[in-house]
Amino acid sequence: MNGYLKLALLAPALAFPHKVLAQECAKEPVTVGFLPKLDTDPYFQVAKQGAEEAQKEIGGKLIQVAPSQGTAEAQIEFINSLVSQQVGVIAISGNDANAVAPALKRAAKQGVRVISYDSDVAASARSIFVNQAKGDSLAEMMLQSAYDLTGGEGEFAILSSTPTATNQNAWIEFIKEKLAADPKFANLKLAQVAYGEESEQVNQQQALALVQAFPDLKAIIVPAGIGLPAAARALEEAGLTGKVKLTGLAPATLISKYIKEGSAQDIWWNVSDLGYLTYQTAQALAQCKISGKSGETFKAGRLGEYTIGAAGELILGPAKIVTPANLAEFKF
Amino acid sequence: MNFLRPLEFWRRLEFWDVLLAAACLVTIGYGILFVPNFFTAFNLSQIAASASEKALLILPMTLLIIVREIDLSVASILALTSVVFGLLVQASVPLILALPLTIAAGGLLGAFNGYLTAFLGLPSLVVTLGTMAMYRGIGYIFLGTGSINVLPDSVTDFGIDNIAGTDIPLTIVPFLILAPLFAIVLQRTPTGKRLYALGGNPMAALYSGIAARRLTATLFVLSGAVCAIAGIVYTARLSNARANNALGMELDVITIVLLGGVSVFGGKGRLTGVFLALILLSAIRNLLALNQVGGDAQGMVIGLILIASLLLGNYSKSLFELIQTYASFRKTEA
Amino acid sequence: MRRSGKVERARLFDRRNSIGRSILFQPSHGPVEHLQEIAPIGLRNAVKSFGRTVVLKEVSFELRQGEVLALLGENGAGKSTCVKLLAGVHTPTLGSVVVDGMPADFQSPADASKAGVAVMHQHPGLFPDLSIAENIFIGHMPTTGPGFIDAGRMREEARRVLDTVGLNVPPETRLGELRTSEQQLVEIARALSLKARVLIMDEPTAALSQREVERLFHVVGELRKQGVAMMFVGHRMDEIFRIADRIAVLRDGSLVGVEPAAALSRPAAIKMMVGRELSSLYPERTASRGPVGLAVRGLVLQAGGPSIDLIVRKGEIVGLGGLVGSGRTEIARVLFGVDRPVSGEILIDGIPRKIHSPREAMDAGIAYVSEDRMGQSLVMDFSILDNAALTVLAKAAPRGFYRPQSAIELVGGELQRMKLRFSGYEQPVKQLSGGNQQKVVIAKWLATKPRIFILDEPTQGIDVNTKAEIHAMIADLAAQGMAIILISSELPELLGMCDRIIVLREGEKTAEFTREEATQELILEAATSERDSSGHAEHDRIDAAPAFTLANILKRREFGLFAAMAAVILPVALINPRIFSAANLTAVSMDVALLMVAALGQMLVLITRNIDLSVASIIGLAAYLSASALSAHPAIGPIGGLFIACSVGIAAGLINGALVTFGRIPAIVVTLGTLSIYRGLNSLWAAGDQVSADEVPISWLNMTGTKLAGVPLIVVVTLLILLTASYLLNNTGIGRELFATGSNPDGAELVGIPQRRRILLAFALAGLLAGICGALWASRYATVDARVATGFELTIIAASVVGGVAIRGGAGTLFGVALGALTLLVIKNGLTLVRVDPLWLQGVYGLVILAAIGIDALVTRRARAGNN
Repeated sequence: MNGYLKLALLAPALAFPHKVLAQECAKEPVTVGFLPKLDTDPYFQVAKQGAEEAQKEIGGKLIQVAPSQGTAEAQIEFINSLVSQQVGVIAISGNDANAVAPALKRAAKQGVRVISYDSDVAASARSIFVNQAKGDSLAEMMLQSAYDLTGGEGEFAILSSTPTATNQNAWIEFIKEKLAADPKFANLKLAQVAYGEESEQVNQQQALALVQAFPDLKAIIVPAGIGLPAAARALEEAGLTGKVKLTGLAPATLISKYIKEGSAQDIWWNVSDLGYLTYQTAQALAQCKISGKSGETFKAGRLGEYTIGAAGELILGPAKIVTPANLAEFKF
Repeated sequence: MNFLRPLEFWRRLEFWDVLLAAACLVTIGYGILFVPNFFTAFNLSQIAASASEKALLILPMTLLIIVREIDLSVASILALTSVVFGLLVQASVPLILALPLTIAAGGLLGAFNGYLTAFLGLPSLVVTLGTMAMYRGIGYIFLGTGSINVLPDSVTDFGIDNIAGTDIPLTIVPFLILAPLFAIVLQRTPTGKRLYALGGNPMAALYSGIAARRLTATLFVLSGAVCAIAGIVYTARLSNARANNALGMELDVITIVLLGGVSVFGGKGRLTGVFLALILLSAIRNLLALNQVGGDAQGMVIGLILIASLLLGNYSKSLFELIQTYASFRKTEA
Repeated sequence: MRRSGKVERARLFDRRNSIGRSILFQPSHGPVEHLQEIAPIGLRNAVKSFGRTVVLKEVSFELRQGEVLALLGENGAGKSTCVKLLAGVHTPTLGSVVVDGMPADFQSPADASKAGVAVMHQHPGLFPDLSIAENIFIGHMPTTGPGFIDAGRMREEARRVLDTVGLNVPPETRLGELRTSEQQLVEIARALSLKARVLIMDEPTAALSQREVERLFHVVGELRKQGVAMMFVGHRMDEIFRIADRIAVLRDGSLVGVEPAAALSRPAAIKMMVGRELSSLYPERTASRGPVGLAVRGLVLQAGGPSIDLIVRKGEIVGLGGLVGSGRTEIARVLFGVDRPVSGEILIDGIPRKIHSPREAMDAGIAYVSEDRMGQSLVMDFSILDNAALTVLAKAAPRGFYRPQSAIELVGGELQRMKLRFSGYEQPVKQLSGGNQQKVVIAKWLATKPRIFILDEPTQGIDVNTKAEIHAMIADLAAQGMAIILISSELPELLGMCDRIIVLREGEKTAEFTREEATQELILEAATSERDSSGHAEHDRIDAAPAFTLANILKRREFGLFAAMAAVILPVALINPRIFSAANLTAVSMDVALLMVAALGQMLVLITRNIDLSVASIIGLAAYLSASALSAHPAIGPIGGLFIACSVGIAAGLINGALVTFGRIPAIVVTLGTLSIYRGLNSLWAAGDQVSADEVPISWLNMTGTKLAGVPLIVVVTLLILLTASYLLNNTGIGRELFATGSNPDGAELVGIPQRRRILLAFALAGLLAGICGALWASRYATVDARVATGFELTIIAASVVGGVAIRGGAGTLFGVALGALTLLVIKNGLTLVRVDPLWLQGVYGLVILAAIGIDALVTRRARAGNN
């Protein structure tokens, strides 16, 4: 019985000789597969809406699949699945920059193009990275925001998402470097980096834990969309709103109450536009209008002209600080 | 292996294996006919690659469940040994040393499980629940939240490439080598008989001179070692040594083994069924993913299959056993 | 033919109508009786078969009021089966049980109980984790109000009935702490407490001392005066003839006859039982005395116990006699390396051998046929060949591979020699009759070519013909020079087979007789205790009753948990006093409340010997569904949301329970499957969406956060739930039955506890509590998505395990579970506050779990050693 099984396993492999596919230039809009970090993050639902808008404009097909765990392993399954479904371009928001790289490279060998959005992957594994805002700029804005909220002195903490998330880790690195290098931030100290694991419960618990563990904590930077509203809620429940200031990146609608109160600041962008741009980029890449080289330009629908920067990075635009005044213009 | 007269063949078959094989055929047939892109070299090759670690883990898990034990810590041992491997490699320990050291580390972790279960007599469910948390915690202590992804080329190549000239991924090769070994030991050696006796009636096994405690402890050590091999494979496949590798994999592994016809009560079950279950579940997950069904929903389908299969099994086993008894009588009359 | 229906059921309960039309009720032999009264119970043409084995063939007899009918028969004659039919444990394949003249259909022991039948079982259905009083009254507890136990009355009545049987132990004592004979007395007390009109006694005296037997007979006398119809099953002639009014004899499943005891002589009774002259059952033997094969010197089984010496010569058969628990099997186990003695030497052929495991015993040439054939000698799923070759596996695999052919060469000869009746080597051993199974066992041991052969109750439960064959075989082995030890409770067997008989009593060798000297009376006398069993042994126990000594408090698990918490809190408080701040206490208490609610549900399932891995998925599903319902229809308010969450929880729990009880799938498998199913449902419903805080009404969020006198509402609610649950678990019959189901599932079956309904209830309640937890979760954390509570099940199970709930079922306290949850979260909080990396917390949790069960095991081991 075992012998027959082995034969059965090997049969399909023997039936298909191994071949490598070249990446061809498409003549028409292709299928784009969006692969967010996690299926329960509404951020990516909103991005999808923007992508759908773009899809209606220029055609092609849009699929979105997401893993139920925020890990690389789970994402790899879906990368493979998208390749099998013969999409033209994969647009991935990476859970783990390096761990998904081999799978993406394999995808490229099968003729599928790869771009990343929101959270980058290893540069060698993708052609273009559509970033919502310049990473450095986001990090700097968050740090500046913390500086403003605390009066430039004291301890602050960072409540990130998962330990492997590329984008968050990049911002945290930048913040650490700026803290060390710039004399302006000499009196500001980073107490700890905690992880909210993209879970409401964990975010709330970690926020409270940070406050309890560091009695001199003045502010928390939460560069994670779900985390900032969760931390705000936790502090509110503990009666600490205003005593510990919050800032970070979060959907404006979810944090609007606290922005109006003044106990939190938010740096945000138009998420729907990010999805729109990503779709446009994907189609442009598939049709060989761009190839990811620095300096290339193309027109991304209603958003206008875009130029690709260094290392294949494409910036959506500057992020904005959300104030009570401009709160209305953020739909998410 | 002898495939004698047809009657002999039917008698040797297990009802469950037949059912699973049929389900596999139906599923794969459905995939070939109705899901474009299923039966491509790339897709099939990736199914095998993704299943590489689980395939390894089901081998010792089957043996453990047959002897009425369980090991919930398999995924944590995988993660911790992956971390150990990464650290060794990072410290420039040559592969020829790093590999056996990692496997030995896995064996040690398994030995701890084995000691608590076999010699202290603690229930394996709770012991491995504790070590599941503890081992992963140790992984975090070693490596924090970081990862080691600079690995020697031979390792990364092993993780990505296929066997020369074919589409069979290299990462499934450890399983292809170990699986027949396990199957032979279980079905054709005295040790296998002892395992079945130990699971079928631990007291009778003890009273027949079988060294029950030593056997159980050895199984746990073996489990740890195989988990370490799986840890190395995982690290290679993802080019990544990290403490949160394979989170939640233990439940998947246990589901496959149980679906494969191994009874939680012990003493019953064969690796053939488990292999078929592995193929079936991998194919189903793949088909669902190709139809854009998410991870949790895939899990739901698999949970339904597990329960439905056991319900079906309970209510129709008697029928098949009747056929088998008839066949056995016919044979001995001859 | 079974006829049941509402009419017959109604008759079952109509106890008053016992005088009615007379029946012409003819037993197959014996005088025709004209009855003035209808017999309360009896069998009519009852046939019982298990698979292809027919155990009872058309047996008819009846029990009469105020009379004792003794059921006599050899082992395997069918006595136990008759008892089980009358007790409702089995249903007749053909024929029927007759109650008050009408056929009755007992679907379960509960039905028999309702019909007024009480049974003293041979292997009692007792629950080691419950108290004596609870054991006595389980299933029919005295109640006040709807199902609440009247503890005072229960204790009183328990004391009364314990007095009647002469057991002087406080009724609150845990049953597991009693000795075998004392547990037998509790079984008797249990049957008596039912105040039934029919009392069936199945080997009630097997473990009792003479004094206790007298007590029992006195009670029987009283019951006789009260008009209770009684049946007594036993095989000690003296007892039977003393107590019985009539004697029914079974042989090979058929009723040979029913005679008045006065009219029957002993030899006549034995002849009816055996069907032939006694002597032909046992072969002629010439006593050949070879050199000493086995010598045991100074063997001490338990600390402080007496020392035992014995020798067995080659070619000799030495018998070990005595009551159950007297030490015979214990000696055999020591000789075979299963147990270790306190001290002593074993010499084989004059050479001292260390025997520390069965393997070493086998290497020394010792073989042991255990008394528990199904439990210790055979693997029921294996074939005949596999069972027979189990002892010589290594030899059957010449080049590492097991070859059936080699096995056949090794054992085939022995199987032939035993004249085994089988259809093929591959035949599953469970299809064989008891006698043939025993032949396989003996063949298995003969294959090891032993020099010393220990046989423990080798002919128990075997038909007469096979018995004779086995006896002949044993004599044959002796003639070939094997040294044989024969342990038996059947005095005729000892007298017929053995050259010498050694009698044990409570671990001490009290007598040794040669074949010529021995008589049944002498052996019985040496075997039974004259020492008052309610003597100093009981005094010891009363003194050691749970006193509030320091040592006892320290041993308790709760203390250990408090100590663990203190060990964390104190140092942390020194480093970071904010551990006591209001904000921290509030947060921790709310977390603890959530965990406690879920852990309570898990405990209910664990005590019934099941497990629920899907609890976290139920919490998630309930949380999401209630939150999304609230966001869609805010008008339903918190009550509506809570209602939805509870409904979801109960539904999920019922599905789990139904699959376990009616689907007959083990709980671990069911809940492994439903874990994924419920989570998947959650995912599909949510479709990637969230229900965020501003989409639900404020009143829902305040449900948990509002403070009553500084204490969050969620904590108050949880405490209420816990107190209610604790009260219900300890003070209702149903609550105690949950523990009983897990403590001894087979016993629960025998006693008539509706196990399936109880388990279904446990799962449903666990689901309900998970639903409540889900609602509280959604209210507390405000934003819910499909991933709520992922992985929480392991924390919940950990809390239960740390809190002392036994995974094997039957034991656990609510206080323990609450403490377990508290301990885990206090440790987590403490570590977080001293800035230990939160990811390291897993490692600490794992350590805590291992420490908890490790300490548990140590404490149990020491307690067991202390009791012995």
